[in-house]
Amino acid sequence: MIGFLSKGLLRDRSRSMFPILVITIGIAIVVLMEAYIAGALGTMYRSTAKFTTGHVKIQTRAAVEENAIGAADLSLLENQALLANLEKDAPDMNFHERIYFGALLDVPDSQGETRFQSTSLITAIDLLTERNEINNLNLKKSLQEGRLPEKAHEILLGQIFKDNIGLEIGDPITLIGGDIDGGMAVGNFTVVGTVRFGIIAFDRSSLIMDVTGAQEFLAMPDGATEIYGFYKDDQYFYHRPAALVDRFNARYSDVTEEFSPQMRMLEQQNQLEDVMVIYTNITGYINGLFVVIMGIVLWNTGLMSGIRRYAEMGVRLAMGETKRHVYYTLLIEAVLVGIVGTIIGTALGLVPAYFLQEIGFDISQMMGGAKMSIIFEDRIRALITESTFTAGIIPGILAPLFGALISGFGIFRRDTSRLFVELEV
Amino acid sequence: MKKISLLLGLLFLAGDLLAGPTALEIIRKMDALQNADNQVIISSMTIKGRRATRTIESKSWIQGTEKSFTEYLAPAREKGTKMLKVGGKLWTYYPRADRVVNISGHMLRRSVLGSDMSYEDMMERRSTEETYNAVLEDEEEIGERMCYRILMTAKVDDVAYQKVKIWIDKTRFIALKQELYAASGKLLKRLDTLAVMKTSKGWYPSHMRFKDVLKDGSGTEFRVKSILFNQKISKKRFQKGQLRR
Repeated sequence: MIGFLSKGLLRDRSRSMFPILVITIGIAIVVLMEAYIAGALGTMYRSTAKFTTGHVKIQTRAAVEENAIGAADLSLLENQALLANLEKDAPDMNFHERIYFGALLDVPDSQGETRFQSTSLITAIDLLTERNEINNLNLKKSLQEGRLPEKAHEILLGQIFKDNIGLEIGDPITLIGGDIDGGMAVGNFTVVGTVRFGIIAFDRSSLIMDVTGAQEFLAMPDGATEIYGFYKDDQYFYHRPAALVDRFNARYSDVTEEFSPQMRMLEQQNQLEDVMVIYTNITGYINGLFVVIMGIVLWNTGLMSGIRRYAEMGVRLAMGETKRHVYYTLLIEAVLVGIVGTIIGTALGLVPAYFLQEIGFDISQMMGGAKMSIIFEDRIRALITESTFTAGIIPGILAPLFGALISGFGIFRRDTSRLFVELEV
Repeated sequence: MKKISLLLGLLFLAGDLLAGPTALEIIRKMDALQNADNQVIISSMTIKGRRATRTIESKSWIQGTEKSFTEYLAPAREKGTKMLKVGGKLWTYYPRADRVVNISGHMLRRSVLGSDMSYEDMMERRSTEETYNAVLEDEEEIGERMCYRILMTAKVDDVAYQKVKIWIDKTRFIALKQELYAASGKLLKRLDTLAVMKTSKGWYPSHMRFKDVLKDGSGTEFRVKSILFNQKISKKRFQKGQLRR
């Protein structure tokens, strides 16, 4: 029967053309929106992960509980053994030590006495080994002057910070802070370059150094405030590392030991779970809205089609076909129209989605031409995933079915004998 | 008539004697016992942190309330660090960086070597009488010692604590307990005297606990190992050049 109905749809194009066109356009929009939202979410995952959360992040339980940022006395210690175990346990990921801390930056004059002082936020990452994090923070692109650090006591300064202080590349600075035991931490460093992240707060007070320099400064040679984990394929999706997190915490995290490590995945940090839920809901709302709008359009189409097909319905009823069967065939026709519209719409939607994924939309000019790197990316990109291909299926079939369900209902209200008269059969 | 006048005079005198000292007199007496023209103190500071307890030993040369020079003797990480205060200025020398750093502005609110004490706590050089109005509130027992409880309210704006409650031993005239408050009335720091010692000038607090109540940990303990009053201190001691020596 499906073959018979398909032939009917193909031969009587006026019956299928408009509904398929409506569904095709609608599904193409849904597919493009799905890819765009996945891309935006992916950009957010990437940016947030690289700078603040990792795909997973390990801190001491005390640091997590107190939501401490840059508290050296709450650092993780004996990290090399932990990192070796992590590499075995999660071979699809890379793990990096990072240290965030605050210190007083003191600039000496020619006599070695204070010329300028300011508080500073220091980000210490692996800059010197082969597995460095230069790409994670996009440092090469952000570099404005000088070069990247090549030694433990070399630092990069935020461009605005450097301009405000009036420093030159090669000038010495002294950092004064608190070490892991709360003691005085003091060290001399050399400015070798400047970076611009496009974020005023960062460019005004940030400082980047190698993690070994920070470890020496804070008197914790095998310690770090945080360990970041990133998937080697750079792909992240909701709850991807859930099993790893459960395994790690069951093995290492002890509720009675405040300095034991605790792993959290991206969405467990910075209330990102809520953001993820909102994004997921937006996709659901778009699909729901599409079903309702398209359903109404197709209901109207079905009604018009029903009027046009009055004669056909009359003949079929006259020949003894039951009302239920006529209604049933209308629903199957709607599903067939939905399938065809979904396939064409998905294919059409994938074309702009692919271009948006590969080429992207440059927004750097909209952002004042600022060179962006860490938090924001300078191109909006879509992301085609498995769900891009399946996103149109439910709304594409539900919408015409919904329309046919309502418009076809009129068949049951027709009296057969009156129908003959009305239809002049 | 003469007899009546004499009787009234005696009554007023007895009243004055029975009334005891005023808050200001008590504060003056306490200040006189603790301050001297110059002092040389060897002391230790034990800082109890979350991860470790550190004891820092130091020697200080103090001249009045205007000048002081402190050299840290131990542990190795702090050894050689020196601090010079002259009037309202404070410099610290860090041997590891070979740098003399001026401590000023917001830096004054930072902790001294991770302790519960801030640089600001070290900087007050005016007498209590100059900076606070004092009111004798009551008498209270602190660790079996009867104390005067005095409430001091700042009469100048530029003091670190706008309100101070102080319990002063009635016979030894040393502070056994102090509570330091912000202008909002929030308790910021607490100082408890845990032991006292007899010096050539009188009683002196030899073991104190200073607690920043806004900070984790169980406070910083100061122990005075030795104190010498009115020693001859060279003028050079309070020159910046001494920091790098």
